Amino acid sequence: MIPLTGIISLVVFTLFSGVLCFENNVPVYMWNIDTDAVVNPLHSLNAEELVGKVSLSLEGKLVALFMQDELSVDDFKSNDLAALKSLAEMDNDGTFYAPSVTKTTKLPEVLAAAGYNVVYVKSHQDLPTSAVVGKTVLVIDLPATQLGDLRKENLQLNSNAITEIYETLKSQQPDVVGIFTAKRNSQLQLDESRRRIARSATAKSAPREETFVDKFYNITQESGKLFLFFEKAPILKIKDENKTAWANFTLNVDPVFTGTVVNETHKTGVLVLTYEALAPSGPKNDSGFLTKAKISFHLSTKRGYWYINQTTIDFDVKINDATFKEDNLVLVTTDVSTPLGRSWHCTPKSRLASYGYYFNGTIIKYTNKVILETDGFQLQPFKVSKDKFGDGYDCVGFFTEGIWAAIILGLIIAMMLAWAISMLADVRTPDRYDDPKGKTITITATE
Amino acid sequence: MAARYRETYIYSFGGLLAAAVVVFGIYYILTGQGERIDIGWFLETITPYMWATTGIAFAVSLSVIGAALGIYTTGSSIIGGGVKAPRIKTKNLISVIFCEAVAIYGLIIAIVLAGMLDKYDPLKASPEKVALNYFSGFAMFGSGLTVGLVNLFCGISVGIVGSGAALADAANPSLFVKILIVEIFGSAVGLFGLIVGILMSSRIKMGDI
Repeated sequence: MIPLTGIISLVVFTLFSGVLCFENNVPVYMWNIDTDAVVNPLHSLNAEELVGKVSLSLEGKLVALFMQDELSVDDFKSNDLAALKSLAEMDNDGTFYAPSVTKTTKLPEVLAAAGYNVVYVKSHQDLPTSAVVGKTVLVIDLPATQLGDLRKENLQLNSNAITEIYETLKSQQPDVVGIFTAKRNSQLQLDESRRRIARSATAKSAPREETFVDKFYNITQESGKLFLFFEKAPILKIKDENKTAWANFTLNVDPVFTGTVVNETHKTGVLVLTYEALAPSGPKNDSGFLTKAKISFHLSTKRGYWYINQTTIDFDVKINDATFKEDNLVLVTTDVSTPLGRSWHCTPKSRLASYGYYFNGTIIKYTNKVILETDGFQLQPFKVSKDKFGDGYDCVGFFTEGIWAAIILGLIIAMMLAWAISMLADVRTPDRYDDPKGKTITITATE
Repeated sequence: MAARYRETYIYSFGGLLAAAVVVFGIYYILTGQGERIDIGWFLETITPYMWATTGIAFAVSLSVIGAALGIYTTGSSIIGGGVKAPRIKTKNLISVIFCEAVAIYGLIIAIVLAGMLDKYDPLKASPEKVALNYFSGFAMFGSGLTVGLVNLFCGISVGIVGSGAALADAANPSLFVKILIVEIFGSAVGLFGLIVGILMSSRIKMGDI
């Protein structure tokens, strides 16, 4: 009963205060204003109430209302508004501070209702060049601020802007009241969570890695269809046999597809990618130029699976002032065998094809002079449905061999544990001499 | 109550295992990758070190389990019988020694196999080298498993016979020598396992060279 009422009242209270929290409370700071008005910091003022408090003091003065997008009480504590602070401490009539005012966006309207002429200042040209007569409010929108580390700089810039504009106005007429406030509280997020805004702010400054190219190729021909997708651009690595450095060519341009790519009736296909005129990327000491590279994947089908049988490459490159040309060089492809109707998918960086090593008697020699490396690759020839890749057959399975080994050995250990627990069931205390009805055995201790 | 306790644990463990196997099996089948459960692929790609080290573990651990069970059986009988017939104490220690020998066989094999472990570079090795390393891994596994299982059952049997020998000796001293022959036959079985284990491990050649 009591916990129930407690819970209900707690819920009601949080909802109620939550409703209150949904009101944007923004601090308002005024300078060069001669007023005795005091504000109870525990209460939030309405825009009308605020104007009502200070309207007498605003009589006969030009009001410069500086509206920032977001402001909070913490911003006044930090030293970022130092320029504003020194401005306010200069020779002036007095200051006024209300820490929590709701509906500040309505301030211009409220002032207009109080008989002020509202002028929206969009840029420096809109500022009055001579003294203004009559009750006027200049509403000046300050540049947007951001959350996080950049906020300090924004606040400093804004306070410098305020100082500059205010002094311009003050040089024209002595009675200018400055009001500094904002449309929203920077610490209270209504629509989105603060975390999400902070994340999107950092995301804007650090965009999705430029290496992601997300290139999707849909090659539809009369004889068949092929889908190809590169998450990051594939890299063609070529090495001069005598040197140890590789020249890496990032194939981040769109290749040209030639020939019949897929022939469904004959169940074969050749995917030919031709790249032209690429400069290398990589360490600074790479100097080279890829005039042309033509990569051909020979595809075939057998007994319900499709394979990449062979990869051949023609290339014409210039590395470090030496020209290399290869025609129809056969590369060793990774074992791509996928059921028909499904796509081959590989996320981690892996070698799709490379020029193999050879074993010469007792000497093992590496002549890897060409490596085609993919980083995020998906291919589906044969039996492509209308617009989507078939299920991805991954190059890394769900259970890798390491996982299987660990499962087997873990099971062995688990069986040991099971045996041990079953042995615990055989623990018996000696109960031969127990007699519930008999006398309790007592042993007299002799001194 | 005790029986139900044991059965509950074993059934729940087995049930959990069966449920896991069923769930994963159905996942594989329904997503159309049934052929990914590939024992051949597993045997080909798994590192030979898994087999080798598991074999060494089995060699020593199963032998010690056998020896421990044997000593438990015979030791408690000797101690119990020795209360009324103290003369059996010294003579019957030979049963305990037979059990201990079983553990020593396992230890010898484990040390021999562990000495043969060596690293190799799968990328740089020739296909013959890779095949030899895989053979070594399997041979170590087989050798260790052989020795371990043989010693496990040998130890249990020697223990039970030794316990019978101690109690018979306590009743009638002339029986002991005859019963010892039974125990010797039991111990010989453990030796067979050791011989086969040594034979298998003689061809092992792990490593780059």
